[in-house]
Parts: sequence; structure tokens; C-alpha cells
Amino acid sequence: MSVSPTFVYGLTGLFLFVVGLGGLISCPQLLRKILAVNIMVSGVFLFLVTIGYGHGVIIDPVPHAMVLTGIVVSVSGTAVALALACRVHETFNMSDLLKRRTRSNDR
Amino acid sequence: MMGLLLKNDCWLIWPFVLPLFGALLSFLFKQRPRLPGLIVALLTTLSSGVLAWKLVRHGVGRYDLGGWQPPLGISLRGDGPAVLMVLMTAVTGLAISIYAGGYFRSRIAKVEDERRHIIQERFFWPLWLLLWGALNGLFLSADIFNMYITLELVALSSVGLTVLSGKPASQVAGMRYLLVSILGSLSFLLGVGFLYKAFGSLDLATIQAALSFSPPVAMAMALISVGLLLKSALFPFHFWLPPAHANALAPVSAILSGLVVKGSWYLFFRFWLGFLPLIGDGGNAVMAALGGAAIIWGAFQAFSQQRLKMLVAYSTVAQIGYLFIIFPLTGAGAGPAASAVFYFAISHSCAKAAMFLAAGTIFLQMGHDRIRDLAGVRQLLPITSFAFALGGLSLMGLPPSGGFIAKYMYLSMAVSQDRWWLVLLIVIGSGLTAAYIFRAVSHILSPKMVHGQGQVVVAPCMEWSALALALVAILLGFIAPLPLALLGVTG
Amino acid sequence: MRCVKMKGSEASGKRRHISLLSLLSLVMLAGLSAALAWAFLTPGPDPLGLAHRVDAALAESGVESRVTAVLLNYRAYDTLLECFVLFLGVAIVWSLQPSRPVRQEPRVDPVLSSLVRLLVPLMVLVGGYLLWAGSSQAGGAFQAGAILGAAGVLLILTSSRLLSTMPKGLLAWGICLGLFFFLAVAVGAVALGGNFLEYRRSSATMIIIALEVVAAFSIGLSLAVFFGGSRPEEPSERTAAGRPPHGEGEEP
Repeated sequence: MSVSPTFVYGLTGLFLFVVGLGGLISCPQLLRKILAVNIMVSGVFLFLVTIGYGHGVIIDPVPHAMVLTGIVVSVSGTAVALALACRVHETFNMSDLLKRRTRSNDR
Repeated sequence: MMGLLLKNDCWLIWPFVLPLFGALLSFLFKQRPRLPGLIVALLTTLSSGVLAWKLVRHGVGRYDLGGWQPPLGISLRGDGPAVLMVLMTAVTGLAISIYAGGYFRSRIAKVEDERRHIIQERFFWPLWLLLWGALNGLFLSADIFNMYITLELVALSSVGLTVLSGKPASQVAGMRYLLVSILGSLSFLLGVGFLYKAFGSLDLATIQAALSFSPPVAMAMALISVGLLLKSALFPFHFWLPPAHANALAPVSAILSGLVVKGSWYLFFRFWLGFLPLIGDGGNAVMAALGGAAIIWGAFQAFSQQRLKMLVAYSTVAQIGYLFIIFPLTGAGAGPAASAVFYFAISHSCAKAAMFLAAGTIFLQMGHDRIRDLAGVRQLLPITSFAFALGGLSLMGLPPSGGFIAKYMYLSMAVSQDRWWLVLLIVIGSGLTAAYIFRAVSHILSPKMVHGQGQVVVAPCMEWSALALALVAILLGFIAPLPLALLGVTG
Repeated sequence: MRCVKMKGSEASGKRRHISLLSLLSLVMLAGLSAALAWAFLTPGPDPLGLAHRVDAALAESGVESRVTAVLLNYRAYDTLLECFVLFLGVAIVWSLQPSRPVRQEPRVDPVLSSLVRLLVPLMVLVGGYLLWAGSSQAGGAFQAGAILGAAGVLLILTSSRLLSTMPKGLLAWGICLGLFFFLAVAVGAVALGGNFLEYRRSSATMIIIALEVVAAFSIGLSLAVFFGGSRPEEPSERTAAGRPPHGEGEEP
């Protein structure tokens, strides 16, 4: 069996999903958790794109459309997560969001 | 033209189109978002009622969005269970909306920090109406990718509502809720990808018709199950639920515990039933074991809580268990099991929402919700105290209540299938529920007179809407044939 | 995973506990990757997917690009909901942040501002082109929306008071306008006797292009607002800006 590029992309996508999951579980910092989730998202999208190319002859546009829709959804989720993380950060003035202390009072 | 708008199948779209429209309106009319919010809530409830009536009259509704038939397009499917959930959302949602109107008015009336309450209300209505529309879309959807988007809408708006209170505790709980939700959604989406790879379709009915075992299908099922379990907060995935539910604003707690949890559970149930031939007894037993653990663990945690809202939140953890111990009983035909579990879901939704609303009223009146110091509530808020007790009655499963009918159906099925450990579990669970409910109610209803409590600050509609919901939960014990007839419309 | 490993390498009592835990999670993650790879690589049923159906119906869809046909015709309901996800994101971000100007310190960087003056019209042009190209080839509302959003970000970065000096409520209307239009198209189809979001063959192309313009505008605006991060300042809020957003131990 020759290794087709589809397999490589698909496996990479799945591997990214697992890597992101590991980061989400193990990193205590909020920002890293959000980044880890984004890595998972990218992995899922890469996997979805791979499905559309499964046959090589005609490219299936439906997974393509799913990815485009999913990107917008995940952008929205990331924006909410970042805004919320900023809020948590301001409230507790904690250094967990990033490994540095930011302005204690910006108002 | 009006006639065209009200064609038979058209009723399937209004329960989600109206709230989406209302969300935009209440977002734009930021000076007075309450008015469009309440009007749209009323209209949505009406349209859901008509949808149920149409279902009984004309059978299962199918609607191809955009005129494209699946698998190319997306279709809506309004069968008995879906429409019952829409109706449940409508009844509970209307009561919560009326409550929220009074709640924000009472809070804005307090002079201090008035601005913050105004901003909270300004964003409450769009988020809540969007959540309502997304839940209805979720219940009616027949397309697995569309389910993913509605799940995300539900999750994001729930998080938005959770953090609306601005309390530090709710922010942390909301952050955790958001991460768990996104993780669950992603797991679901990856499962959808595997299903598409295996079946080449996103239509659930098409997939289930072509069902056969293969590794991608097994993986898809596992990913989808774990994703939905995370969102439904089944033990041991319940860790995010109590702080998120207990620290939210009062109407939000009722929304989250009464409705949102049911959304992901409903999807899980639908997937699990559809894939039952592949799952077998092992998977069902695992679900029942987790459900049983949730019942016991949640009840013990609820009993040891010091705060009323935390108690009610842990009670949700326990009651979610009942939604999952049904799976071993599906072996002898899915119909009766579905009746029992949906009956449990709707009565829990009404009872739990009523209890959270009542707890929120108590909190607003007393300024705290420490269970030990709740003496005197009975004199200040007799209606609310009564509503809380009635809701508790239905949770315990005492006759006559919706909870009683549901547990009776559970028990008779378990006995007829010789599942004695399930019988034991349900009996123990009811005993533990009674213990923690009595603990709260004994303080709320204690006859001790407390002087100098001051004025009643809550609006009357807050008290009455909670009572109305609790009465619906009791009434479900008398009108069992009606919801069951609705549920029976399938195929 | 890297951060776990770093912690695990330090050998104190508590640290050893953490390293055991991390080892366990590593094993579980490895198991998960193996299971995923197994499920992906085993030959299972290999359906054709929907490609041939999409092609068969392409003539009726009103556009030549398959992806655009899926996004804005066959599965336009998903796109409608997705625009609502963006709206939801904006609503939550605004509800979270106390209103204040995006950047207090005025930035006068002549190089940057003249560059932006050149770039923004170009980006709008590219966005428009992508939108137009989307009906027949790669491109479409999302790509155009992303470019417009980037233009918005550049504008926010250079003219510090852009968001706060906008007429009151304009931003909210701008975000909602596209959604109203989308809903109106959807319900209008029902009023004309079709299904929800069903277009007549004769007007499908027009409607899809209009929806694309609207969706791109809405996506671009939402992305820029996400970057801005806070609710646009309202006159009544200026006085209350110094007040803390919440009180400790207050009613939830």
C-alpha cells in the first residue's frame, strides 16, 4: 500500500486533535488552554478537509463548506473565551493567564 | 399571504425563527429590551403550542429547508419527542421570561448599582431568546452538522448568560463551562466527520438506515457520546455544573438547569437509540452505572451543601442520572422506555426551574441563601415557599406529581424486566432526594417568627410564575395521557 | 504536554505525584491517538459522498462554484445560524466588558497611518473581488469578510477613537442589519409560497450575491468588533466609567 497524501493529512489532523487535548488538560494557564483548543479545532478541520478529498476524482464540497462554517463558529468561541479570560484576569489580577503580571489597574 | 405563512409544515420553523428575530429586536431596543422580549416569548410559546396541536392532528412533520431534500439539503423533523421537548421549553421558557421581567424590574428599582442591573437586563434578553431559538432548532433538526451548530449556539449563549452576573465566582465557573462546552462540541464535530466518512451523508435518518459496524462508526459513536456526556454533565463529567448553575442570575439558573442540560441529553438519547443495534448491553450497562453513581453522589453532595442554590444545583447532578439509567430498559422495546424518560425530563424541567426561580426570589428578598438562616421566609414569601415545596414534591416522586408518574413507569418496567438493582437504585435515590429536599424545606417552612425582616422587595409576578411552574409539575401527574399521546406520534 | 513534562522532571514529593499523573495522561492520550488512527486507517464503507449530488443540482442553484452553492443554497440554514453565532459572540463580548475606549493613548505614527490610508481601500477592493469571484471559483463571503475584518482591525489600531466616536447605536444596527436581511429572505420565501430559504431559479443568483455581500459585511464587522473587545462607549456611561463593575458578596 502506497502512502497517499490523504492519509498523511488525516493522521496529522487527528494527531493535532490529541496534542491540543493534552495541552487543554495539562496547561494551567488560561491563554494556553485557549490556544490548545484552537489547535484541536485546526486538527478537526484538517481531518474534515481530508474526508472531502477521499476519492481524488471529484472533490466533495460539503466538508469544505463544513470547515468554512466551523471556522466562523470557532472564531466566535475564541473571541468569547479571550474576552472572558481577560475579565477573569482583571477580577483576580492573577498571573495565570500569561506568565507575567499585567497592569493591575487600567481604569 | 397569511395563509401561505401558516401552512401546515410551516409551523416547524416558527419556534426557532421567532426567538432569533426577537433576539435581534431586543438587542437593538436597548433602552427597553423587556417589551420585545416578553412579546416574542409569548409568540414563541403560542407557536410551539400550535405545533404540538398540528402534530396530534396531522402526524409527524417534515420540512425541507430551502426546498432541497436530504441528503443534499437540511431537513427539520418534528416527531413526538422533538415536539414534546419544544413544548416543554415553551412552557418553562414563558414562565422564566415572566419571572425575569419582574426580577430585573425589582433589581433595577434598588437604587444602588442600578446601572449594572440595567446592562444585565439589556444583554439577558438577546442571549436568552437566542438560546431558546437554538434549543428549538436543536430539537427539530434532522441533520448532524446542523446539530453541531445549534449545540454551539446553545453552549455559547449559556456561557454568556452564566457570566452575566459579573460575580467573580460566576466568571470562573463560566470560563470552565466554556472550555468544557467547546471540548464537547469538538468531540461531537470529529464524530460527525467520521460518520460522514463512513456514510457520505449528514442526514441522521439516512445514516441510521445504512447502519453497519465498522471501526470509523464505532469511533464516531464514542466521540459523539463523550462530547454529549460532557455537555450533559453526567457523573463524572459533572464538575463544571454546580458552580456555573448556582452562581448565575436567578432566571439563568432556571434556564440552565431546566432546559439547557436537556438539549444535549436529548441528542444523546436520539443517537444512542438510533445506534442501539451496535451498542449492545455493555454500553447500556455503563450508562446505567454512571447514572446510578450520579444519583447517589449528587444526592449526598446536595445534602451537604450550605447554600440553597448549590443544593438545587447538585440536585440537578443527581436528577441527570435518572435520564441515563433508562438505557438498560430499552432492550424490551424503545417505546415504553422513551415514554418514561421523556416524562421524567419534562416534569424535572418544570419542577427544577420552579425551584431555582423560588430560590432566586428568596435570595433577592433575604440577601443571602444560607440554608440555616432561612427561617422566616414562609411569612415573607408564602407563595414562593409553597412553590419550592411543590417542586421538591415532584422531584421526590411523591404522588400526585409528574415525577411520580415517571418513576412509576421506571419501576414497573424494571420489575417486569427483572432488573432488581435498578428498582433498588430508584428507591434509594428517591429516599436521598427526600432527605435533601426536607432539609431545605424544613428551614424554609419553619414556623419560627423573625422580626424586623423589612419590606417585601420582590415583584408579585416572580412569586406567581414560580408557583405556576410548580403547579404544572404537579399537574403532569393528572394529565399523563396527553403528553404520552404526543410522544406516541412517531414514524 | 510540554508543561507537564517540565514539571515532572523536578523530583520533590508533590512533583513526583504530578509526574505520575502526567505519565498516566500521556499513556491515555497515546491510546486515544492509536484508536483514532486505527479508526481512520481501517478500510470501512467508502461512500461517494455528496459530490455527485451537488454537481447534479448545480444548474439549479444559481451559482457555478460548488462550495458557494452548498453554503448559500443547499445548506443556507447552517450559514444563517452561523451568522447568528457571530452575533452571539458580539453580544457576549459586549456584555462582558465595561465600556471604555479601545485605546486611551493616542497613537500618532505617521508611517503607520499613511500605510493604512493606502492599504484599507486596497483591502476593500480585494474583499469585493473575492466576493465576486466566489460565485464561480474559490472565494466567497467568508474570505471577503476576513479581509474586511482585517481592514477594520487596522483602522482600530491607527485611529484610536474610531469605535467610540461612531454615532450611537450605528455599530449595533450594522451588525443586526445583515441578520435581518437573511431572515427576511428566508421568511420571504415562505410568504411567496416556497420553503424556508428557497429561492426561485430566476432570482437565485441575485439573492445569493446579495446574501454574500451581507454575510461578508456582517462577518467583517463582527471580527473587527471582536478585536475592539469592548462595547462602544455611550454618553450615559461616561460618568459611570470609574465605578467598579461588580460588588463583592453581592446578590448574584
